[in-house]
Amino acid sequence: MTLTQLLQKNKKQLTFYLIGAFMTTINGLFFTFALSNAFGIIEEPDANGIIRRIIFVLLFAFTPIFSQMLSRFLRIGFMRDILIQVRTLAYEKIMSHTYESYKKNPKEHYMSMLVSDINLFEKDFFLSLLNIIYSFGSFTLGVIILTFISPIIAIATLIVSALLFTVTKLFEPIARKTKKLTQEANADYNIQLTNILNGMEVIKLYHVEENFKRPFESIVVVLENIKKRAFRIDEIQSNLNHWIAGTFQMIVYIYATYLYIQDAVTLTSLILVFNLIGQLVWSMISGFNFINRFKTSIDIFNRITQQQANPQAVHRMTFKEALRVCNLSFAYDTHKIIDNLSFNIKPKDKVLITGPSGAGKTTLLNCLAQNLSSYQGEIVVDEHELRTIQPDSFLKSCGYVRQNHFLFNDSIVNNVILNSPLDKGKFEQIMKDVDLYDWMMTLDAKENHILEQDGLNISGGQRQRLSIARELYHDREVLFVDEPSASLDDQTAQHIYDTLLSLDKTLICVSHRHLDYLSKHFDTHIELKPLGVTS
Amino acid sequence: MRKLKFGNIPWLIINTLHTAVFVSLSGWSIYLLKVVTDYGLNRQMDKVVETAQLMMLILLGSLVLDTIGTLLKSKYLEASLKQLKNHYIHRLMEQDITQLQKEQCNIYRSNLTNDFDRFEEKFLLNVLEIIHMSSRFLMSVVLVATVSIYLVAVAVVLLVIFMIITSKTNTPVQKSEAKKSESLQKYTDFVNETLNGFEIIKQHQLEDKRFRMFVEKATQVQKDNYSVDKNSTKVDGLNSFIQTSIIFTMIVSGILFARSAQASLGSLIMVATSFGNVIWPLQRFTPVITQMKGILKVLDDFDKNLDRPVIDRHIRVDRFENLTFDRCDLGYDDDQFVILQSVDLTIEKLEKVLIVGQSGAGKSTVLKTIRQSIRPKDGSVLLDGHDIFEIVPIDYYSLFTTVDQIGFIFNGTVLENVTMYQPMDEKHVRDALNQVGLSELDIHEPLRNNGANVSGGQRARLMLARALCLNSEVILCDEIFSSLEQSIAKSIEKDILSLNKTIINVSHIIFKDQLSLYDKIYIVDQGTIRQSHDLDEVWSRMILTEA
Repeated sequence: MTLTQLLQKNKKQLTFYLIGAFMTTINGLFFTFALSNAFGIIEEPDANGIIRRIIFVLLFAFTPIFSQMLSRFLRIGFMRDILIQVRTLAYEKIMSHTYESYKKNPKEHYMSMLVSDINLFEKDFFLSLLNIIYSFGSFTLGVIILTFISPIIAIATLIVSALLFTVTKLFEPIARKTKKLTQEANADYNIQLTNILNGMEVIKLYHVEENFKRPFESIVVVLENIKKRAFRIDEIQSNLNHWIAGTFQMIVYIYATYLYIQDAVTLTSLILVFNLIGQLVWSMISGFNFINRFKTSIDIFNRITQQQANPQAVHRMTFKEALRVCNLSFAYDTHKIIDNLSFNIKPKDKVLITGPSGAGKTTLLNCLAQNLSSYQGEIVVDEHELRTIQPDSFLKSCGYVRQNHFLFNDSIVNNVILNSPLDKGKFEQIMKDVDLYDWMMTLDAKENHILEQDGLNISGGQRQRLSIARELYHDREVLFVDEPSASLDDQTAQHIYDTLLSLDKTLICVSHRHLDYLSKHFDTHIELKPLGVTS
Repeated sequence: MRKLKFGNIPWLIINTLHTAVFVSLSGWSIYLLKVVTDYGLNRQMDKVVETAQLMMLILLGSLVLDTIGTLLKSKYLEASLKQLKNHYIHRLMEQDITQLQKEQCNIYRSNLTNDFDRFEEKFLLNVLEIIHMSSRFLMSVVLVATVSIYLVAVAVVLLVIFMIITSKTNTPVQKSEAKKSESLQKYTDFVNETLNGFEIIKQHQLEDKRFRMFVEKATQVQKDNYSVDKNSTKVDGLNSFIQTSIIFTMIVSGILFARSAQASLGSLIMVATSFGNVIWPLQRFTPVITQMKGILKVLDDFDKNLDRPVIDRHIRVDRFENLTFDRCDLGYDDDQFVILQSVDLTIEKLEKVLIVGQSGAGKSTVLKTIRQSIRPKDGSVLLDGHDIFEIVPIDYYSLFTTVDQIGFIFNGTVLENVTMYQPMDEKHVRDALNQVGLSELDIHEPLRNNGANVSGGQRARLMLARALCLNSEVILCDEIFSSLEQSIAKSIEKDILSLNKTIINVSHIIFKDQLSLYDKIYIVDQGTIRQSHDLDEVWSRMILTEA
């Protein structure tokens, strides 16, 4: 969904928002009217006139406060609704990833999309939208009012605004360049710093602290110097803008004073002009600044919500005859992991995959489990290439116990059954099968014992067995298991293997321990070596 | 560090002086505004033109001063940060060696990067802003005083009332802020859980349920945010009501005062302009001060990180005879969990010891204990019969050299990288390089970019050469093979084992035909460590890499 579509969807709230935003433009003008009317008092000949002026002043001065509040109330509802939807869109984008595309970025990348990027969007988008409306709205209104008082001043204001715009544009390339330089210097500083900090112990050991203070200090010097330049460019630009604005305000004031002497304007208009000019020029400056921020916030929106289309898979998963792996190869970038591997699996087969670390065991499992699709060669289940099988139908028939055993911050039973209805007898039998029943019964809350996120309050072996229990409960036709005994002692490991092998299912299991025992009990043994396979 | 919080004091003083001059100049131009207005009202055109010329001059001057101000400000920031960072580095270098563990490296780095950036933005820049705001305030007071001293008194009283009210009215906003950060925390936790469990959620098609939960959390965040907005709208409304009342009471009464011809209209314009200058900074004053107070915590953290613990260790050692783990339970200090139980392990002088185990089995726990990063939970580790935590740190650390995957290579020549600037015979260095198979390397060749121009294998060999030259008794190898080509790893292992040193090699990669070169092999498995004499057992347990 693009931003425009999102805004269209929220037409009603958007209208309120825009009304609210335009109200702010009038507020500034009202304040100026109040001020000029106050000075008008001095020209009033009698008490009646003074009272009339004071009533005007009060009216103009206090209306903006209430209209400001009203404006804000009109705006914040829209902000709330839009942000809920942006968060949802960003979440949907992340969840639309396949396992493979999800793994391309570290977790922190997604975290920052849902947290800091949205905060940035929240801050920049609404603030700049409001300020742009306010700035250009009050500018237009102000220029119209000025035209009535003195067309010359109105034209001059337009010219000065163009000048300010030019200054901003002139500084843009150099500002952008120094910003980039600063980023680079920061990155460099980070690298150098990490290296030297890594060496601190060695440095200390050989008493060469003094020799290393210099390089340390020199990287600080380089960074601070570039930062200083960037700071200067930013500041000088803003100083120049402020100066132009301030000077212009002075000149107009003097000119207006001249007009007053010539009796061309009243005192009220004089004060009005003075205040209005100030307001107009400042709002121009901030208006320009906010355009860039507005653009950035739209970029953020697009980045965190734009989904790429996933390829459409068409076939339903069936596994009645055979799973055939034909000339399978897989490489991470240029690093080849699996080369030209072929084998067949029949339904209910028990398949053991072994090999040294780095030989591609988990990669192979991930290819077979539809987690990786960028392999070469073919994996065919019954009739269809694995990549053309619909993911949800695949998942309904395949379970996968991974090496990292994720647990939700929820009860034991909910971690096992997840979304499925609870069958208490089945659940307890499975907990016995994975050797967790006795442990569970020792807990105060039994199966309702709450696990911390990532299962930090239980051991690695318990986490592993809970993951296995979860897959057993869901009773899939095919079960992929990665290192089921990694954190278990021999006896428990054997019990788990017995449980797995007794299942009336297809079992594809990766292991690198207990090989003598395992190779006797599995039907097929695929031994991976770094590049090459024997069966 | 806290003592240095204001950064470079001389530059700060120069900046303060500059601000004073600059603000006086702008005060002068506001004063001239009054003059010009009064001349205008008296219809003295020639005087208006005369004053206008002066005003233009002042404006030009203020542009020049402003530019100088920018230069001075940036100088202050540069000088302060250099000073603070260098001080930090200095203190870091003074740290006791037991504190300089690799694990701390990230903390130091984030102190020297993010935290200093935040300090710059939220403290140093705010110091400058506070100086600026205070000067403007003083300037305004002086200007108003030229009109009437009573006016100053009235104004100050009103402003104080204004400030007090503003600081009180914030309470409901703070309350809803607290509620918001709570729901934000829940939201973040949920997101974190979802991202961690991505595979499981996909696997079990829990997307719909999780999606509903997410929307619930996200909605709560925005709802709480909405109530923050609502409350702050009310508070802002109240504040600006008070502010407007003050300004217009002042202006209207001032104008009525002027009408009775006791003050000129020009003075009134001046007073009004000055007030505009004061009200805005006053609103910023409280939040800026709060922000500054908050960020000082960063400096306290620095001090905590750089605090030197009192090390009370007296036993001196100058050689290595043996290292013994006596029924030790090993684990992390801040965790109840024991990773390895009743560890018994003895390493004699010149022995070549291999410690193997699957990743995650606890090999690094042993290494960390030897390096004193963690203390045993039970039992003791002895060096020649002394508890290692009673030996003078520098003596103890001097006995060991660690060779690991990262290694410390800095911008200097090969020679300097090997000798660490210690005076040393070049021949000695060449011998060491030959011994580790780096004879082709020119010792005067500079290494750049933290050793980007050396390969992983050369890096490990350089570390070894350093260990040889620096004459430590024991070389600790920490998983040095894992990122190397097998043939290279194998030849490095062979080289290490031929050295006349005590070698402790911790690895999950081993080579079958070289296992016999070790004197002792320990297997870390199932929560403990045991010695194995059966090379085939070691081999089959690991299923290892064949050459």
